[in-house]
Amino acid sequence: MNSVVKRPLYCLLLIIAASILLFIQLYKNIGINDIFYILFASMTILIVAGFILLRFFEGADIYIYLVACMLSCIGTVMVYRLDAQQGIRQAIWFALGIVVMFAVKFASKNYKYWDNSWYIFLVLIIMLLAVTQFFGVTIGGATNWIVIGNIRFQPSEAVKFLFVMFLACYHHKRERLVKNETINILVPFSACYVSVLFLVLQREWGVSMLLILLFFAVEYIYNQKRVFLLINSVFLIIFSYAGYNLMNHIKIRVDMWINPWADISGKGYQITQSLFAIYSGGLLGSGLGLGRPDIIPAAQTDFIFSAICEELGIFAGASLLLLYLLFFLRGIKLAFTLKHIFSRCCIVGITSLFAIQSFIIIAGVTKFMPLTGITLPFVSYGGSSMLVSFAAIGFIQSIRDIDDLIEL
Amino acid sequence: MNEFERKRINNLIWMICIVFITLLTYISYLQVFKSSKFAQHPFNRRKYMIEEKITRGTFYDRNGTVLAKSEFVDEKQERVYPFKNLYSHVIGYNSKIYGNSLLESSLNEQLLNFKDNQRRLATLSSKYSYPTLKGNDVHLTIDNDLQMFSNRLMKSKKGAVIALNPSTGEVLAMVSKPDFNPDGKYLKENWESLVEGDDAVLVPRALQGLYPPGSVFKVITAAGGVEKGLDSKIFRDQGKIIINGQEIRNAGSKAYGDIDLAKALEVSSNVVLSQIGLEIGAEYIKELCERFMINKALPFELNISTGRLSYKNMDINDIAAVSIGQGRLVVTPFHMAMAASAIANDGIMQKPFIVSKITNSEGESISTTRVENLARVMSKEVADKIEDMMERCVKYGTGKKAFIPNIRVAGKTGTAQNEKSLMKKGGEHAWFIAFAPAENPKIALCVLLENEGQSGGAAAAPIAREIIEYYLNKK
Repeated sequence: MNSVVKRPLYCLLLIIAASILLFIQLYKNIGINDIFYILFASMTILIVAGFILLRFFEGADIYIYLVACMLSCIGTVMVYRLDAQQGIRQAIWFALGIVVMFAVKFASKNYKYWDNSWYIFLVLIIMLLAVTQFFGVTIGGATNWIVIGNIRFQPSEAVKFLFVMFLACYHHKRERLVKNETINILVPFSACYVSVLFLVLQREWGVSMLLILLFFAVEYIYNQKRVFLLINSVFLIIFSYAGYNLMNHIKIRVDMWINPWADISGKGYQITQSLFAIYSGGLLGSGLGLGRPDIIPAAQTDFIFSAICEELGIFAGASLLLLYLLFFLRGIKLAFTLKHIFSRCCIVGITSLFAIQSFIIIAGVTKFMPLTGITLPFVSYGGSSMLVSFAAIGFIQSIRDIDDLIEL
Repeated sequence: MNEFERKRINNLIWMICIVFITLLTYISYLQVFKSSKFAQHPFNRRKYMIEEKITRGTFYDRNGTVLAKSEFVDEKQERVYPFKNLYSHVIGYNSKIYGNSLLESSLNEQLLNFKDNQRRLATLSSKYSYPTLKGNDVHLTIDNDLQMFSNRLMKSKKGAVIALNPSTGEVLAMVSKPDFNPDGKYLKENWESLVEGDDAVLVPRALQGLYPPGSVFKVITAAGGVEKGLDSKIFRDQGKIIINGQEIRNAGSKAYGDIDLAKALEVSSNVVLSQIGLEIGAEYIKELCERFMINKALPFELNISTGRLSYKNMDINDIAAVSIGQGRLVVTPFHMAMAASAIANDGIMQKPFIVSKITNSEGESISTTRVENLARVMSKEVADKIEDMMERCVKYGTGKKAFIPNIRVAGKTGTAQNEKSLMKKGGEHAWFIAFAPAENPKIALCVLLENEGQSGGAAAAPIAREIIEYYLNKK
């Protein structure tokens, strides 16, 4: 085998080895539910199967898949440690995620009108947001869940990626479709900020910020008018200022970012407990099952990073951060090999999404910036997030083929 | 891809990388420099949860009486204080909700044998319930009988009693009133009233109560006087004196005629001592204060508030006031007990300590406190002279109520004006410092009755007498 084949194989073996080690720690310190043995075995088999399958396809980026698997393994083990039931569910989401990835990969190749579908995306976005606005259920302080029977999911997860695709379509077609300068600025602008408005009404500060930053990033690359960035910045400043002063919610978050020690047992409780957890573990952590991440509020979702730092060490936390950076770099590298604006913009948008999102949440729980209520992709407990993220990866895996399909 | 796009994408890559690396650096910086602050933070419950698995050590008095211990009730550890309020201002409390105070706090690591036990805990699995690990025991220099006796004498008054062994610095008894029940249940029920009440029940007055010393400070002024050779001088005492427009009077405006320093200390003459203060001067007084650990930190296993002489420059009236223990001068009862102790110990102040030794769960001694000199406060000759004057104070002067027929007691009374007394809202502070037996002192003490409204000689001296009698006969 030449080195091109060997390296990903080593990574795969590394992932499996790390997972087994974590599994053993779990067993030693906490004990394991019978079901989880089965799930863990299935997880491993699926990861390997996915690996083999992907190797058969040219244009598939194996490393993105591997990074996602590594993150998901760590996340699943950690969630299991925190709550066995949720851990089992997370393992199932992970397995389903890999399936979804392949499904999206195959399906998206067959859709011939990606670059023409900007109105479809827009409609979908508005629909999802509107439905959430009017029929949404409030769980955990945010009105961003849709419940159908037994199934709960968060549309905002999908909205993020649909927005990227919309922007990609728009920029691809812009030259030919729209000559008017004003509309040039107005369409993406309003798409972005109308969505943000919806999200703000639903109290999803984190996703709003994410969307705005993503918009910034994509427009920075694909919009040649400087004035545009200026307008956007002004808007952002106005929004932030207004937000801080008008929304008590936001003011509290910012105040607690600046000095949570002023109200440790009250408003600053979450962030101070997070900091205690992160720095109580030392470099190698207190050991899986030996720390007390259970006293961190929202440990399985927003603060999963803190729980990981406590039990697996700062090294693990740093590794997580670098894994996301790696994910971004691999993804963005792809962009240079693609022929059309649509595909390039999609890649840039999707990878930036993952990068910005993981940065926002890790920065939030370490008090590098104010806390927002978003989750860590692949690691936090959450079905919607896991499935949508793997779907996005599936799309990335087929982007080369889609790129070839697009006609000028 | 055109150049613009390529350049912009590269810029984006750089920005993301920089931002990620900055975050990584920030986290690493906090880990390297600040992690212990977070790990040890009082609001970090992890520490307490480890504590739950360790049997907290026991406090003993010098004779082996148990003063505080941990018991298991329904598999939960509870802190038991057999003497309830008696040690609330010495040992303090140990509560999951309110934290630790005083010795429970300063000796926390030892009581849990934290370093060793933390390591042991890490190698045990949390799956199993193991026999609890044990902390170390603390043996205090306190004599429980003396502590109980002194406490009884204080009745329901506010103030403090401190008794030391002047030749070693051991704290034999330390009572602060008002006190409270440090038991966890009681704290929970009464916390608000304890914290917000007018009486400042949670303040250990012996260590942290700051009061104007009044006439007990005269022993320090007198020491300065002796050092400057003023003990052979005769002063005129006509009951009152006008210094720079302000009047200084003796108690009851009593006039003593032409007297020397010794007589002046015996009768506690404000007129003479203020003149002596003026003669030795502001700088000398400041320097004397520092020798007696005022305006300096007093090293001890518990936090002692710093006694303060708060003047940048002292004018004549300030000097006069300070010489008789008034003005902008505040000290803790502990400071005055140390002063008595230094005089008793030929002018050498021993370093005070309350922990005599620490033993592990097997009874083996881990550390023992050594007797140490803290400072030479005055020469033996001066100390002898002051001691002589203080004996006369008890035999013939204001301290008569501390006189014991067959024991040579040296003492000094004090009646201090304070904010409340000046506004007629309360009484003066009654002070008495003493040591006995004068030829070979075994005990030095300070009694302070807050806002008592009586003179030190009338109210504080009798308490001192009883304590001295009890202690010396007990031996």
